Order: sequence, then structure tokens, then C-alpha cells
Amino acid sequence: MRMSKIRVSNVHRSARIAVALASLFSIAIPGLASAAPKPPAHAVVGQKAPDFALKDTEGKEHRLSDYLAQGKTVVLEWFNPDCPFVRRHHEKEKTMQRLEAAHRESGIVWLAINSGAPGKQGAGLERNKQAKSEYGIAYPILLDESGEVGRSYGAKTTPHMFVIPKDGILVYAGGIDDDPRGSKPDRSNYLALALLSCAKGQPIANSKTEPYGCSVKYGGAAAQ
Amino acid sequence: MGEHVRARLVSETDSARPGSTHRLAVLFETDPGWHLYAPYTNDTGLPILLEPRASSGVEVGPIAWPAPRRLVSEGSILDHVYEGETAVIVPVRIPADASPGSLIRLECRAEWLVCGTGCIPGEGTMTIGIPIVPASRPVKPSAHAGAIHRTLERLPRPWNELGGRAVLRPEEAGWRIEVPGALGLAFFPGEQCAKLADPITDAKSRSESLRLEFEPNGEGALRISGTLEVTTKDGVAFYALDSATELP
Repeated sequence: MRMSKIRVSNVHRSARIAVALASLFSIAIPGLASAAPKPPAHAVVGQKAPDFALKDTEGKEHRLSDYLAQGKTVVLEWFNPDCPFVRRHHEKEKTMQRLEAAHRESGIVWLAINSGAPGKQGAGLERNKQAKSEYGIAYPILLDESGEVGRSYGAKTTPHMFVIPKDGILVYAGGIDDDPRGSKPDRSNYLALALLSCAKGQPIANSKTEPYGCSVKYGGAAAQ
Repeated sequence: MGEHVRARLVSETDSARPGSTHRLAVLFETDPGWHLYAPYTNDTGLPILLEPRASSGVEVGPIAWPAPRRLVSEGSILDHVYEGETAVIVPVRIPADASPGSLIRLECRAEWLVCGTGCIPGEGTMTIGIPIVPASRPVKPSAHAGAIHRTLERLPRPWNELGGRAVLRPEEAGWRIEVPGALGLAFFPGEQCAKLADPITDAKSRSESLRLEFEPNGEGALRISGTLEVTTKDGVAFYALDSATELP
């Protein structure tokens, strides 16, 4: 038998992103593992947004209801500094920083929330402190290591965006834009459009869109 | 190395005859605990993107994607993924006038996101040369024939191969799928499928019946399309399902 003559060149892989250290977690709690929790009821557009209080990387507490009482509109951005989609928007395109800066004067409070469990990629106080300066993020990054707030909003991806005006009703949930691969010449920035409608007091045309990104790195054992 | 996935462009046989359809495949291998995303409805990630290109006169495609696996993650996240060894089939039609002794070259660009403890994007361009042999010469299986054949068993078959046993019926706000005698069913919604209300719970059953409910939108019966996994006492098989073509 002659060897195959077919010439195959191995693909060149470009790893643009550093690998986070493998999680050392291996949780096995007998009795708990088998009781798969029902998917929790979570925030729905058109209904009251769940209140929360979380500490940022400086140790300062932020409470949603406090900001709403001050008449602010709150933008929530699910965040993981080491997710490639987040990196693209923060490092290369500065999507979030630009939008936040453009709306700061008009009374919008922007909060990033990291619901990654300890040991997961991009989680932890130190990494997020570092990311805040690395990416030049002017707004707070809140840590939600238990994932409770993330689950209460049904946050699935990083990024995943939510908008809550002062009346506390969730008016937008979804993606930052319509371009998961970051390759469209003409993008619709859903969040910018939602904020524009809010500012004009008009209904939001696309109030629910498909978020895209890495999965939020919640803790707990995954079920099949 | 160490980016948790390897990708190669491989061939089923060591050579090809003029006028034949030749099977190439992009062969992915992921490390344990890491996965790639299939072109289905997913909550997260990015599906693999393949862009094959052949020299002029050589027809390529359509690409055949094997059935994925369901991956449910914490936070009610559902994705359809490939883990371990996966061959995505790229058929190539060799021109009848291809001259024996020549090489037909094919190039394929690939883009993917591999996720495990974290996510890492990757891309690359792979090339292969297919030696053309005279029609009288036998072609021999390559070292990758096994991997390609394992994938062929996971390619969705036409729905009508269920032979009229299966029932696809619109119901209030959803669809009912029944395959009498099946021990289990799972539905993988394709990219064109209407949005399901709760696929984590709905799209898998350990019985011969499955009820898929759509997110309420007030538009009546919506399009259902994707792949149905049917488990019987004889094993597992996959069927392509699309209400737009199966029902008037």
C-alpha cells in the first residue's frame, strides 16, 4: 500500500486571546447535584426590573432603586473582560465607552456587571480592577459572583444589555448591535437606538433582540 | 499548539477519478471540556464558518453539517455544539475532463470560536491537493476515511426516510412531533426556526412524542426547522425537519 499522496497543510491558528487558567473547581455536592433547579422567572421587557445592590471593584455599593429614585435611566452591561466579544467592543472598537460618554450628560447611569463565579474566566476582583484601567472604563464594574443578579435578569451572554428608565420598567433587553462577527459594514446599534427612543419619550422599535457573546460563566454544575 | 482545537482539511480517499464526486472534510478535534458551535439556534457563541474555494470549473458543496449535541449550561443557556472529533463534509465534483496525473487544489477558510473554561476565537486557511487518477484505477481510503464515515452516520437524513411513521402536526402555539416506537426524541432548532419558548425543557423527551411551543407572538403556526434526533432500540438516527417543505 502506498501512502496517501494527498497533501494537507495544517491550519494556521491564530489565537488572538490569551487563555484563562483552567478552573480548578470541581463541585460535587451529593444531594444538591441531582436537584436541577427550575429555570428562574427572570426580567421581562415591559415589566418591573428586579432591584439589586452590588459592590463595584472599589468596594462601593450600587443599588438600582437608588438611581431610579434620582430620576436616572440605568443601562446594564453584562461583562467578562476576557471574553473575545467583550474585548472586541472594549479594546478595539470602544463601543461601550463611547456610548456611555455620549450619554453621561443626559442622566444615564451605566453599570457593568460580572456574574462570573470565582475561578471562571474573567472573574474576580483583581482581574476586573485591572480590566477597568486596561480598557479605560469610566463607569463601575459590579461583581455578582453568586450569579443571583445575572439570573434574575436572565443574562446569558457577555455582552448582554438592559435599559431601565426611572419608572423601573425594563424597556430593552438584548444585544449591543446586530453584528455578532463584527464584520458588517453597516451595523444597527440596538442599544444606541433604544436610548435615543427613551430620550425622545418614544416606544423602542426593537425592544427585544438576540444577544450574542460568550456564555455568562455562572457557578454550579451544568446539567445536560 | 494549545488553543484547544485542531482543524485540518482531509480527503476520504487518496485520489479521485475524473467526473466523480469526491468527499473532502474539515476535520475538527477539540480537547476534552471544549466545544465548537454548530450552525443551529444557540444562546451563545458563534457557529463555525467555512468558505471553501476551488480552482475554476470545480464545483464545491453543499457543505453537510453533522447533527450537533445539546449543551445546557448554568443560567438556562442552551447551545448546539460539536465536541471531540467532528468532520464537516465538503463535496467536490471533479470535472470529467480533469487529466490524470494532475492535482486539483482546494482551499478552505475557517473561522470558529472554541469555548471551555473560557472562549478563544480562531481562524485559518487550509489547502489540499487531490491527485487525479485514470477512471480505470481504484482509489484507496485515506487515513481519515474512518473519521469521515463516523460523521456520515450523524448527517441528518431526509424526513421522508421515517417512512410515514412520523407525525408533524401544528397545535395551539406550537407543533407536535410523534415517532411511534421511539424511545426518545430531541429537536435541534435550526437558524431559520421560529423562536421556541422553552427549548431546554421542551425540545427533548424520553418518549415517542415531543411538543414544541413557540414564544407567543400572535402570528399563528410558525415555521419549525432543524434536526430531529430519534432514539430507537436500534440506535440513534437524525432527520432534517422543515415545516415549510413538509406541510403545505
